[in-house]
Formats: sequence, C-alpha cells, structure tokens
Amino acid sequence: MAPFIVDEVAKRRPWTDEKTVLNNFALAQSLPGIIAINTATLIGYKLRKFRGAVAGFLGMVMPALLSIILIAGIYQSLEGNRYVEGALYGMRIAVLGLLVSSTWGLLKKSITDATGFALALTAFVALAFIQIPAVLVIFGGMFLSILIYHRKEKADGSAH
Amino acid sequence: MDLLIKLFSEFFQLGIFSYGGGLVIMALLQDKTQQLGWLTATQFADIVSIAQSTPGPIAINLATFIGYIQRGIPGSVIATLGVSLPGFVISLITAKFMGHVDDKPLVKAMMRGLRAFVIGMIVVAIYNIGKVTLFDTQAYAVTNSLGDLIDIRVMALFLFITAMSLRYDKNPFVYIIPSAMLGMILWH
Repeated sequence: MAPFIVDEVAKRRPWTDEKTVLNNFALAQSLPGIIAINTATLIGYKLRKFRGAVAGFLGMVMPALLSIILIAGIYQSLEGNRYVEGALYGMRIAVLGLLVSSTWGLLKKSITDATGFALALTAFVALAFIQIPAVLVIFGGMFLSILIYHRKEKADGSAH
Repeated sequence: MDLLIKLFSEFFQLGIFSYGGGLVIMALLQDKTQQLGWLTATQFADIVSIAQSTPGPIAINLATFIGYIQRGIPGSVIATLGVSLPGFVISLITAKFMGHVDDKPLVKAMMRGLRAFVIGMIVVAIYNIGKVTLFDTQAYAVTNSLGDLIDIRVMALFLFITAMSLRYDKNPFVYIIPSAMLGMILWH
C-alpha cells in the first residue's frame, strides 16, 4: 500500500515528498483504526489542515463504500443461485489458500523470539479455548505488550 | 433505528481496537458477527472472500458489506462510518497536537508486542474460515463417514493454491478467478 500512496501523492503530483508520506504511513500504523484511513487523514492534514484531513478521509472511504454497496446488492439478489454459490465457494477456497500463505509470511516476520511466540500463543488460547471476546483479547494484548516492552523501549530511547 | 445505533456502536468499538492491519479487523469482526448472530460462519467466509477481492481497505469493505446485509444502504453507511471514525478522529488529534507518537516508548512497546500477539488472533480467524470452507461438518454429523467430511478436490485445490502462493508472488486474481470458475463447474 505504501508505494502506491507514495506514487500518487509524492511522485505523480507535487504535493509532498516520499519521506513525509512514509513517515506518516508509519505513524498511521501506530494509531488505532484502519491504516489506510489514518494515512489519508494524516497526509490530508499535513497538506490542508482540517479540511485536508476530511478530504483525505472521504476520498479513502467513498470508493470502497460505493462499490461494496453495489456488490452487496448484487450478492443479495443472487443469493440462492447455484452457480453463483458455486463460484463463491471456489473463491472461498482460493482466498483461504491466499490467507494461509500471507499469514505464514506475516508470522515469520512477526514472531522472532520466544516472547513473541508466547504472546501469539496467549492470544490464540484466549480466543480459541477460553473464548474471551476478541475485542477484550486485543485490549489485553495491548496491555501485555506495554507491560513486557515498555521498560526496554525506554532504555533503548535513552541510550541514543 | 435501534439496529442502526447498534451497528454504529459495534463498529465504532471495532474501529478503536483495530490495530495491526486488516487481518486483525477480520478476526475481530468474525468474533463479533458470531457473537451477535449477524452472520453464519459460511456467510462471513463468503464476505471475507469478496472483501479481499475488491479494491479498498478490507476493513471498510467488510464493514460496508455487513452493514448492508443488516440494514441496507443506511446500514452500510453507518457501519462504515462507525469503523473508520475512531481512526480519523485519533489521527486528526495526533496530527494537530501530538506529532509523531510512534517515537514514544509507550507506543513502540505496544506495537512491538501486538505485532506478534495478533498473529494468534489471525490464526484463529483463519482456522474458523477453514473449518466451514474445507469441511462439510453437517453431512459428517449425519453419516459419520470421512468421505462426507472431506472433498478431495476441495482439499487439492486449497493445498495447491496455498503452495503456489507461498512460492510465487502473483496477483491474487490469478488464483481467485480460476477457482471461482472451477467452483461454478464442480460445486454448484
């Protein structure tokens, strides 16, 4: 996603530079919410303050909103059609395969030590076996992360 | 009207806790839609596949779709606003008052842990999707025969696509479109 935004906002148009886009993208990932929306809002703000932020936000949201409304409408009206359901089933299998492979890639990048593994396992058990609601699980994860890493991060910071 | 308010508040909650990308939001939504009885597991799997195949952030696609199923166009708008407003507001406040919070040790600590933590959540979500996609538990419950639980062709296609996409980095449609066509032919 990042190269795409860089291309549109910094290269094809002289709105800002690549570094700014990438910095805001990184910041967007650290904030709650949808990364693409955050990025659009942040860059929009940088360019034109509040109105820019709103414009960026709307620009990000509208295409997806409109196209999905269209597609969802078609989906609902085609419900029950055996061929459509067959096609959807085939799609599901493909998407599942793609999800598995991209998650595997993500896993290799994200779990790099025993602590990471322990964290992932905790999330897994909490959600799958103890059946804690997902929103609470992630909240717990935020809390745990801070508990485990805050002191290290502070130490890293002051070492510079 | 009640449903609209509920849609908004549920998606708003999700918007606040969605950290770490679209797949996390998928995991959160799966849990939520099962919990509230808004969608069956199969419907959710369908919607995820469609949301993955259409342009736009998957979170928005999912919110719009689920909102639409619940309450038509008003529902889709409300759900989408719900899920995207928290990020918008927080980003705005951050941009205006706080600058680059991703430098703060507290934020870095949280991101560092969550990166690994959410993998566990995503795995659960994918497992749930896999369960309804790869296995026919209803037929199995009746006949108790392994042949009814597993369709070899489904398994083969799934394993093939997983292996191929692990190895080659191609546009997802290369896998999705042929699978859809196969699905129409084999599994209608």
